[in-house]
Amino acid sequence: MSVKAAAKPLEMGESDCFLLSIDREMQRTGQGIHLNQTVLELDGVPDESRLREALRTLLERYPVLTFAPRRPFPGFPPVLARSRRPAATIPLRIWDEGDDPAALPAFQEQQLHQTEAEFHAAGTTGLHVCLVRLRDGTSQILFTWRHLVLDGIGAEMLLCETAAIASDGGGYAAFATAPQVRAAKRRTWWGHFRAAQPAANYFRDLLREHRFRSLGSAQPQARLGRFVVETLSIEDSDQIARQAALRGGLMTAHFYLACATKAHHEVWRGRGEGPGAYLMSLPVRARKPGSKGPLFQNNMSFLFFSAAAGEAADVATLCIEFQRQHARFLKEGLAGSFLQLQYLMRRVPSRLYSWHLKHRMRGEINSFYHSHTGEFAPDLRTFIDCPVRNGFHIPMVFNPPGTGLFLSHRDGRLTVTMSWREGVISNEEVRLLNSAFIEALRTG
Amino acid sequence: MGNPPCDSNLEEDLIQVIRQSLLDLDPDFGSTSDFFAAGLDSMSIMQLLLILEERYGASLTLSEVSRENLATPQALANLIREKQSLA
Repeated sequence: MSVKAAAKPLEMGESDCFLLSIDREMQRTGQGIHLNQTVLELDGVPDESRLREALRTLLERYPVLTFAPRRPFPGFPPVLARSRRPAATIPLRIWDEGDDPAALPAFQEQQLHQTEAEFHAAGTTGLHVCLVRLRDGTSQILFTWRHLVLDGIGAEMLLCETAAIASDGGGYAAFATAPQVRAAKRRTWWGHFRAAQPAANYFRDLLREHRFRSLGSAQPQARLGRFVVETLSIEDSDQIARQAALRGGLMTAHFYLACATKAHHEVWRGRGEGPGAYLMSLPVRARKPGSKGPLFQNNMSFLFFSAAAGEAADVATLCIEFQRQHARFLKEGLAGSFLQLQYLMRRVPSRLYSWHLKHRMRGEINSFYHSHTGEFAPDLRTFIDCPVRNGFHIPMVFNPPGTGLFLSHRDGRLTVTMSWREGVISNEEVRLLNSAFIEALRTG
Repeated sequence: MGNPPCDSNLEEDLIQVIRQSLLDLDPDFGSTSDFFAAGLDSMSIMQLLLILEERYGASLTLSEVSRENLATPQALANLIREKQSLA
């Protein structure tokens, strides 16, 4: 893709527009902008000047990194367009670990809790990079990225692209952008409206039947995003893979979601109360497996799962129930219908979009966040001559729901990332949620 | 997706349908090539099951959803033929 072609405004897809409403709601409630972080752990320290040069080329090749959302006219769907004040370079910060081992997580959390003005202080950009030099001679690359421009798999591809540029200048991405999941075209607005009805009815019936709450729903909103990351041993990861196969067969995603549900249920039980029911949205990657693009925008759709509080303590029961719901979602075309709902909402101002969402969902979005992004950048073996030890994502959740449990794996080791908003759960509950999740993964 | 194929074209039809709706299959993907190596994962298996049911009338039980049965077009076609003969 030529730079000139890439500099044209980009239509924002259904998922992009949904995330834009979330981003605006986060800013309105003092939760910063919707940022995530992708971490690459390296043996050795990459050459700073080569990294800087690679980032310069990256920005030159992909001007979309300096784009910002904008509505051409009121009532029009938003586009990603060149910012009036584009960044001249992707900011690269060098951070040396001092004597305090807690300083790095605090630094990362601070990176993830920025306002739009702070993030764009040196000009608009969708990506900040930090090279962390650790005392033991290893290092980390932190990609802090704005969810309006990238998604998790895109961030992995962008790391691959950066490594490729630094080593041989070669491009990784077959093509840079274009959302892969779009609502099926209808001839009229009424056609889209009718196609959205099955999803609208699904949520109406679900909300009539169940009262679900998130852990963060009753808490103050403007609190710092926190996280813990744990990479499990190969033995533990093997044991978890066996449990996943035992409970879910080849459809392991249901098992991981079931474990996250059970872990949240343990926290509710600890509080001596229950949420009534759980509602979860599971992102589904839209890029066909093995494809090397697109890099940018959000390329995912969502599946929805629910669980009654009475069944949330048993992983086996949840797995069967989630498989049944997954089949129903596909058979009844609910995924496509939900896309039509999102399509209709694209023209709605973001503030109204999020208000409508919260109003329809009775103040909640879902019970918690969860995803398993699969194997982390399996093709990325070295980064600027440094062997890659591990890689994972730190998705920053907003409140409500205020908590999220995320997984990825690399070279046979599973990494568990738990994110939450400070104040949503106590320190004791943080430990309980994390340990209950890992215990559920191990024992099913 | 059009009409279901006659028996002899089943493997080829499976490849076409899965290429269209599910996976980025190489042009030389053949009847003994591996769907899992091509990226068939936990989430796309459910879509595959739906295709088998709706297009070929083959409804699989959970115990039949195994790597052995789903790995190649040939294995899948054999399973579909078996299901169709029992119907």
